[in-house]
Amino acid sequence: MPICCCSFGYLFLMPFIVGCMDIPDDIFGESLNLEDTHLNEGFQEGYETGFASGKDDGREVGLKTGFTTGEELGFYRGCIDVWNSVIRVEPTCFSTRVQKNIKEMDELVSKYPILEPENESVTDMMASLRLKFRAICATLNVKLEYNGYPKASDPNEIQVAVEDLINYWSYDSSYGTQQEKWGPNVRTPSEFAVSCLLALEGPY
Amino acid sequence: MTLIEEEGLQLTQVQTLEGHTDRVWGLAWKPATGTAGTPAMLVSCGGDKTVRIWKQRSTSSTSFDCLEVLEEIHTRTVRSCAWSPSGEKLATASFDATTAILEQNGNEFECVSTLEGHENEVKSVSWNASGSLLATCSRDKCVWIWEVLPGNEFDCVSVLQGHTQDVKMVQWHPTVDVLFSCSYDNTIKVWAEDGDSDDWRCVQTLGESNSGHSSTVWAMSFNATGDKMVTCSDDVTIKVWGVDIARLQSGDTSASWGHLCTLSGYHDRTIFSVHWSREGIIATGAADDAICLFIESEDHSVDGPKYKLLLKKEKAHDMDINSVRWSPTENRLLASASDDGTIKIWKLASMH
Repeated sequence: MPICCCSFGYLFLMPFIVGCMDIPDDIFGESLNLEDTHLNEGFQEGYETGFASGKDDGREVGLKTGFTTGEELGFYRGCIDVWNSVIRVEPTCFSTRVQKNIKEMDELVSKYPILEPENESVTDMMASLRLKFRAICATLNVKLEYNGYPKASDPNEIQVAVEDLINYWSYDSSYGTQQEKWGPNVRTPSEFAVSCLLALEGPY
Repeated sequence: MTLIEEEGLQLTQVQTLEGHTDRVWGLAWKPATGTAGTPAMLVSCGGDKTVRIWKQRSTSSTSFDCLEVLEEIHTRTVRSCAWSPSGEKLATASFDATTAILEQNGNEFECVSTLEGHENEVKSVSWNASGSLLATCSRDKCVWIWEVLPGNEFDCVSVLQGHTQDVKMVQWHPTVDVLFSCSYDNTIKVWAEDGDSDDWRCVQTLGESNSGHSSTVWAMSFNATGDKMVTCSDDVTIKVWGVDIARLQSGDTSASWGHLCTLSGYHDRTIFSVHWSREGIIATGAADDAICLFIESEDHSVDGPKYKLLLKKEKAHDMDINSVRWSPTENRLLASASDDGTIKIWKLASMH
């Protein structure tokens, strides 16, 4: 009699058991993996939002870099074209050295991989262009630039320089002559910093 | 009698030149003066934006008079001055980012050219041995080389980048066209031309790893033969370097400089200036207001030459000494310039 009940019980449970055959370990598996599931969902959400935001940022940076690079290369192209026209009219107006530099600049601007911002040689090419340009301008004794032309010293550098100076001053603040070296009315590190900033950013 | 054998050598103050109204940064003796009947001439420059020319009253006198005060040349501190090897031209480097070239016309000096290009304060200017090239350096970390052309034209040959900080001084080698620069980045760089094509590059960097200085290197000077160089630094040491001069002079630009010896414990503050006289005496001027003189020591060790202190002049000035310069002739005159606004002329002589 009991044997029949048991086997009937198993028969009833059979579909259920068969249905759960794909769960490898146990029927509580899903609830234990809940943390992982939520983690994955959250990650997915974050990834998609981040990806979209990153794409926007990238587009903005790309636009800005593209603009400034284009502006600089265009500026050089303009200068080179004018100089070349001058040389055609009057071949002896510029020295051999200057003409050589102009030719080298011409080649660099022509070869510049505008559509490959990730090309490793772009930094070196731009640095080379800037140096040649400065040398030519110095020899011709002209000051050519435009609003936004990159300069060697930038605000971060000034900040670092001022911090260095504050450290130096603070280290030996009892050394009176150092104070005088930087300004007669400087008494505290902050006054010192202000006088440095004024000295560094003042007009020539 | 060699220098080492002379006894009782003292540095006596001959004259104090007053006039500058701010610190005096640089000094330079005019070449081919102070000898053979020509009175010595000296140029100084300073924070008062002026360049002053001083002349010895007569060849037998020890007095110097101020010949001229040049006020309109620069709009900011004049940091360095240097005569061309012939004494014909004078170059002055200023915080106004320009370098002026001056020529003497009778008793007056006029500016015949202005070199622009540096982005900020120019710290030093140096002529090469033949006077055909000029070098300048600046806080913009660059070293510029200019070619001197007829008619006071100056062509920019090269803009050298490499230093990572403010470049304090440039100095050409006394016999070969090799340029040296020292910087706030603690290194000394050696620059040479590759072939004949204006292609100047850094052929050597003397940094901490080659027994170099551990802080800002302020100045460099060469001995008469050019096989040794002395440098001084904010790390309060003086270092002597050597090179195989035969290799260097035969055109081998890869001939490298090696550390020979380090002198420490003589100054306890930043050493701003060092100058090697033709006779072989090294003079240093520092922020401790003292001047030290060194000569090569007789007892050579196996490792190479050694130097010893000849004398230390404490309180040579009331404030930091920015420059020390030996007269180029054999008169053993030394000039020193200081933050106290004065220039002092000293004579090294035996008291016996």
